[in-house]
Amino acid sequence: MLPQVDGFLAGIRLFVRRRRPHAPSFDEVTLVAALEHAEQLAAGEELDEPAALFFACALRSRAFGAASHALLPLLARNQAQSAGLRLDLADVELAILHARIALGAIRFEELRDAFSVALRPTTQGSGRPPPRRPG
Amino acid sequence: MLRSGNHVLTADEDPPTPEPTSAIVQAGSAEKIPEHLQRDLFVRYMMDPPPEDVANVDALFEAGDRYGDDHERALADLLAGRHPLQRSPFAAG
Repeated sequence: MLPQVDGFLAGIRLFVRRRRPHAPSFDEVTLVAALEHAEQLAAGEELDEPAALFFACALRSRAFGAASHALLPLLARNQAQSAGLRLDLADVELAILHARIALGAIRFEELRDAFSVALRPTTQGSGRPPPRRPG
Repeated sequence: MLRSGNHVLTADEDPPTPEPTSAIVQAGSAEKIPEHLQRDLFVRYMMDPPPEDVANVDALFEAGDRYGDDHERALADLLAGRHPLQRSPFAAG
């Protein structure tokens, strides 16, 4: 399940203000729009939520300010964890994907495929195949 | 006899606790989270992410300071191995 709006905003504010107390505030209207877009992209499919949230937020990086670089990997990793999965992508790989999304160089379907092969059940070791996508 | 400011202390009197500096006040006054959000799973994660998830956080904040919304430059540096993450010992993980 994707984060609830008020928890999403509070969690982001909390994380950034603890590390960057003087960071400018976020464009919260756009952050909410990103969350709504993520819901549309995932279309109720829990396995697609990490990619959907990462994609929708990367498209709107500016709304997170400079903190987008630190926040986006966390959003994707937390979303995978909430589905009982681990996202086996290094931060460098996520940074490349983030930049490519922001530049319009990758579609959601491509990102979803890249995430799909990198999601592992948290209870099992790395290298196992991800859970089967229904349908 | 000890002196603390204008108040004269006797030998068996403890000096008063100094007022916190403004920096300490700021660090101590972390944003108050409404009670219902303290149980929110996303808030809990962001409050205390697993160490492995924030291993590169300093390099990522540095990247934010360096590139901001200039993703073309960020991508060029990533592909050239010049991105702050690529100096981090945890970048591969």
